[in-house]
Amino acid sequence: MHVARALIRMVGGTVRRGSKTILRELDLRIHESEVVCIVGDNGSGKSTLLETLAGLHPLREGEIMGPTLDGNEIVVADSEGRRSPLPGLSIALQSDGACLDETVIGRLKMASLVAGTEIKEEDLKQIMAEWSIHHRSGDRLATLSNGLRRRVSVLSALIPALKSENHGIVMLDEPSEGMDEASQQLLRSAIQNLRSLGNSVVIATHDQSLVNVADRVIRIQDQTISVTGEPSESDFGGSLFRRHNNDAVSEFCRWGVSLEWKNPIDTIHRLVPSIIAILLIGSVGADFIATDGLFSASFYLLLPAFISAMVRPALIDRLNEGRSGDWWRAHMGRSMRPAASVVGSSWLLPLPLTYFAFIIISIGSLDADPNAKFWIWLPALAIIDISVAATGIHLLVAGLRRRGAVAASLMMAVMVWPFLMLVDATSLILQDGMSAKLGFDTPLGLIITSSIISVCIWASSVLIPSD
Amino acid sequence: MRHPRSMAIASIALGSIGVIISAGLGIFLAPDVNPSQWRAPEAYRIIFLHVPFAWTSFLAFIVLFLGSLGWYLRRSESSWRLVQTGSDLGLLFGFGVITSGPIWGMAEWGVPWDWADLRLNTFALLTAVALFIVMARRSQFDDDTTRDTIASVGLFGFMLVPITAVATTLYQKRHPGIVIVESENSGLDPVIRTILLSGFISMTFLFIGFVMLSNHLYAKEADLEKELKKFDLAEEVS
Repeated sequence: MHVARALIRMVGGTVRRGSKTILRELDLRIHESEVVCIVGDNGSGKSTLLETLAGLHPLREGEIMGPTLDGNEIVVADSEGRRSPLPGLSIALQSDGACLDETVIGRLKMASLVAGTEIKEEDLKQIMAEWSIHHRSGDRLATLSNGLRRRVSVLSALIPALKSENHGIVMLDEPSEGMDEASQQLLRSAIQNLRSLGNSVVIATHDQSLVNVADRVIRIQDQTISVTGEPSESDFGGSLFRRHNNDAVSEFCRWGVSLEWKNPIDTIHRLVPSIIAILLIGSVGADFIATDGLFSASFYLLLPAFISAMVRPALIDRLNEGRSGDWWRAHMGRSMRPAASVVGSSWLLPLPLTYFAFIIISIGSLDADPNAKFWIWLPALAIIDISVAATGIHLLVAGLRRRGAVAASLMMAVMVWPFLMLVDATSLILQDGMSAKLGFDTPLGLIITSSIISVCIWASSVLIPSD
Repeated sequence: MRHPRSMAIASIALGSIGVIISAGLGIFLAPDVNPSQWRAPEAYRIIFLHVPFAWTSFLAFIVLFLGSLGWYLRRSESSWRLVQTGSDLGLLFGFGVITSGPIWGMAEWGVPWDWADLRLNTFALLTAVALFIVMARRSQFDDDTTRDTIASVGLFGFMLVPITAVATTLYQKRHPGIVIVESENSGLDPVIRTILLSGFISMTFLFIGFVMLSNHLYAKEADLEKELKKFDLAEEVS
């Protein structure tokens, strides 16, 4: 037995919200195999401290160190904006941390996988039965009561640690809030179980019954902390630390696609203005469009797909719901924004919309190359690049808390040039057919240039933000 | 040394008088000079405002960029004040550029906007970024997360400058930009050059005055906010 090593170390941590300093120059260690409760009055900064340790709030001063698999330390967050996911973390935020279109069983499975634990179906069913939510396993979270949703949220942090052979860090924000007495008893015994398995458990709570199971208590008052209790001894030194799932990005992509499949609100948001545009263009008539030449026809051909690419993605609202975006950010760190910009984009619509516009505008009746219809899919596909870049800009703006009070569209004008280049490329295809030649006067060269510009805009929008 | 606010007001007064005189000279004197140099000699008077506006908005965008970079790297209050000042003035002077430009463009080129013109498009994008930042500052909670995002938007705006430059240049290769009719004599007429120079200098004084006043006001606003917070705490205790 020896004094347990520190898994998380905060040095001189200062956190501000607005002009108010919430936490000032805190030094804090969380050791392996211990339960730490953060207590304090309402608004004292309990949740802020817990979420800062999870990398969700920027540090004004100081740094937070976390463990690596080989027993060393890495900087998880510092005042210069460095932020990486805390290794071995599973977290339950005070809100659901989930989109309410998720199902109970889907949520628990996915949360385990993201935290690095693959759980068997039987084990999951057994835990759900213990926590009395098995009868709701296939239901959407939206149909559950607040108390049941709280159980799902807490379980999504507990299960990966309980069912893993390696130990990690579990963070729970007001876990017992809204739970009945039986569930609270299960929670306390699960926490003790986690400690015995070598996990660190950090809990922000008002609940005295949870404080009673803690090894140490951190009281926050007037921006500083006082700690009571001693770190426990441990025989887990050098044992395996839970590896974070390297496939968290693919889990995130699967999550985004499955939500759209269940409730295709993004597709409808994009489709409606595009279809209206096609019908309006169709009502103008091909003859009128033909008088303006093939450049004009190409413009109208690609415009509906371009409109669909500019629409604000529904993923932003999904990430906002129940703070599910913060939950993902705690587990994925900086890779979340690029992944979200790809998942949230319009992948399926540009191609069918362009061909639909082709039919409605009757471009076949214009004096265009007869093989053009076999090649307009190429500029239509390049609209996807524009959509990814536009989603990156929307996400950049979504970093603001009152997202509805600002206009992301102000920064969308830059997307005009890749679009105009695609219009040029399409007009060349309509005029002379497709050519495999590369150059600025060839369709292929213009399409590639348009995509490169989109990629540059995308990279600027997703790589600059420091989260 | 005089109080910075007095110096700011003096600079604004001097600049304003200079701008009015330059505009007046432009309206009443310059149109008679070399009308063959322009397609629309009556309309080109607007350049005596348009070009100095472009110069000062360029300075404002530099201030915004430096502030955004400073906040992004060091999170210092002085950098944040530069973001505030740069975005306010970028919006003010940038709006001057993108409204006066199309008025002149419509008369001189026959179209209000040229997508192949680098300067006009760059100023439009940066003005849009400045408008976004001003709206965001007014509508959002003033905390580090908001400031981080706004600084990121400021830096993103500046990343758009080279991207726009490449995009418009490449686009221009297929769609040649609209060329201003050149006179046989190269260079600007000395009268036009003098009035333009006077406009430049006046607008620069105006800009410097605004920067000083804005910095002063935002510093005072931050002090006031601190005092209000003390009152809030005292109220909570009582």
